[in-house]
Amino acid sequence: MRLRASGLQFDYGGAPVLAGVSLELREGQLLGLVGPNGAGKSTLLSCLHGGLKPSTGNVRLEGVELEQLSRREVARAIAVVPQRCEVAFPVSVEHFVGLGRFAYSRFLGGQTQADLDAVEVALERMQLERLRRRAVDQLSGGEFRRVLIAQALAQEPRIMLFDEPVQQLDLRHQLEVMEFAREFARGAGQAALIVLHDLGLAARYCDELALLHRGRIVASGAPASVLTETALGEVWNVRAAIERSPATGALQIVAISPLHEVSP
Amino acid sequence: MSASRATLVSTLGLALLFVCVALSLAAGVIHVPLGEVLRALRGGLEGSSDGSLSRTLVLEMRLPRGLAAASVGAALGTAGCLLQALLRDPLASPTMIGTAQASGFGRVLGVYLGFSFASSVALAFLAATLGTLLVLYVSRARRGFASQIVLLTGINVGMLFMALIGLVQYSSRDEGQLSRMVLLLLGGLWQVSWEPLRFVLPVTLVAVVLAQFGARSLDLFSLGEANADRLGLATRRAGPAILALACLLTSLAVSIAGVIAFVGLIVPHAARRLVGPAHAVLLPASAALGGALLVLIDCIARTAVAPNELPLGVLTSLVGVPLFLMLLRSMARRGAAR
Repeated sequence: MRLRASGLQFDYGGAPVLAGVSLELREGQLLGLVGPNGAGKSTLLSCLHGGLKPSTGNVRLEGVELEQLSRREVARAIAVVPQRCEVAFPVSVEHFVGLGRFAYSRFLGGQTQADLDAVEVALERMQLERLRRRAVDQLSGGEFRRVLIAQALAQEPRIMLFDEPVQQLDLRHQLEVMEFAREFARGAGQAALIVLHDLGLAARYCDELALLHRGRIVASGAPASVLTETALGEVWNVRAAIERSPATGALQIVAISPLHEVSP
Repeated sequence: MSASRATLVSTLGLALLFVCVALSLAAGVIHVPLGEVLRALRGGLEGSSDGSLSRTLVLEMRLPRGLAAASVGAALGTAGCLLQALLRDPLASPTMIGTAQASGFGRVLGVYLGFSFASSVALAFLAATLGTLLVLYVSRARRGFASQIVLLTGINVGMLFMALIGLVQYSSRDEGQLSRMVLLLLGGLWQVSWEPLRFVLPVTLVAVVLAQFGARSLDLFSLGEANADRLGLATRRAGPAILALACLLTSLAVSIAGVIAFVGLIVPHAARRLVGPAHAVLLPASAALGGALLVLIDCIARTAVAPNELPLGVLTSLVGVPLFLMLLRSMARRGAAR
């Protein structure tokens, strides 16, 4: 499935957060969305699944505007792994993952075999079988992240949007999440977009990067063409060295020192 | 949540309610043995009339009262459950956010204007909806609601409606009418007869069953609006529907029993401890526990200082406040800053 945003503008009632963003997520692609704090990454991600409505521009899923689809139809195609999810009344892991099936539920009638199977597959894929009865507030950060991904998987989506999924994870879990994202994106008819702060992971795992700065995409394409020393200077305000890692062959970004901000 | 577990909880809940109502028929100043209770019920069903004292007592006084208590408790338990999930706030309840006080105002205004019972319930529902919308308008954040603001606004709006109730009572020039208003709002069931119940019972039953259909949506709302939305819930439609249901249940309860505090707050917590937080089981459990609790407390209200009666609202507060304080204490200890 293909997701295409064109000319997105958005504001929360003040200065524009997105000032005309166009972006395309193609089948088989893992697209990294990078940019400094406050660039509008999370806002863009919300617009991409219809969670926020842009003031102008639109998002099309296989050519159909998201506005034309019900929230359930969207949730059956696009799953979001959010940064945070505070559960007011902590349910079990199994139940929480099962909520990913809401978009398939009918007005009357409980869970179908398809629901149970999808939850089982998701639990297994995220190695959560042993934790299924645990309350979701009794999990470590890494475990809860896996539970969030499992919930998204239970939606059986074609597109997954990850909002900073490796934050607060230890090294091993970071790599696992990135490998999962890449594997998902390679699945038939599937694609994924991932918001990342860690540029090294972004460069290593993503097929392409889109660099968001002050509500605009200022560069996009192969990681090496987006992450340049000039871009790091202009967008992140740091002096940086970009090298190839002998171990992984991927770009390695070393931020050396902050640059004094040039007044605009 | 498997459907069978929800069915099991609903069945057990109904059985519990049935037992409590049956016990309430036997209890009172004049003890009626259960055998005679059953005879009277059977006689009532067959339409025969032997005119005995126990028959009148059971069929005309205790049965409507037991059913009223069950219906009020079930309505408040369910309404509390709906509000807590919708606002993601364990401290939300019809009385905490002013819905019950607003209903009380509508109901008293109905008495003042000489409305029929059904029209006063409609007026109570209207006032409840307006009052609750006011609270939610003030406390609406960009996404979801700001908990502390909801509760503080609710307390204020509650006070506003208590003041309006005072105004209506003060304006009443008819002593009979005034005393009816005062008794109504004290929180009690001593004046319940079959007449209002013919309306309240079926509507409450329908509303409690309708709430059940919202179980999955409530599970999602507990995750917050943004998360509910990403999982496919049309929050803009489901939210108002759930709110309307909570207002309807509250106004039904208030219309026959006045403002009864703490049931809507405490019962969902007790139910959560018993069956867990999944709404497919939590909703029936809250309805049943609320109903059972109120039937039992009403029995105490009728019998503790016989031949006089204690106001039900006073008793529920006496029971509810210590439980509420314990709840607050445990939240404070867990460091839940709200």
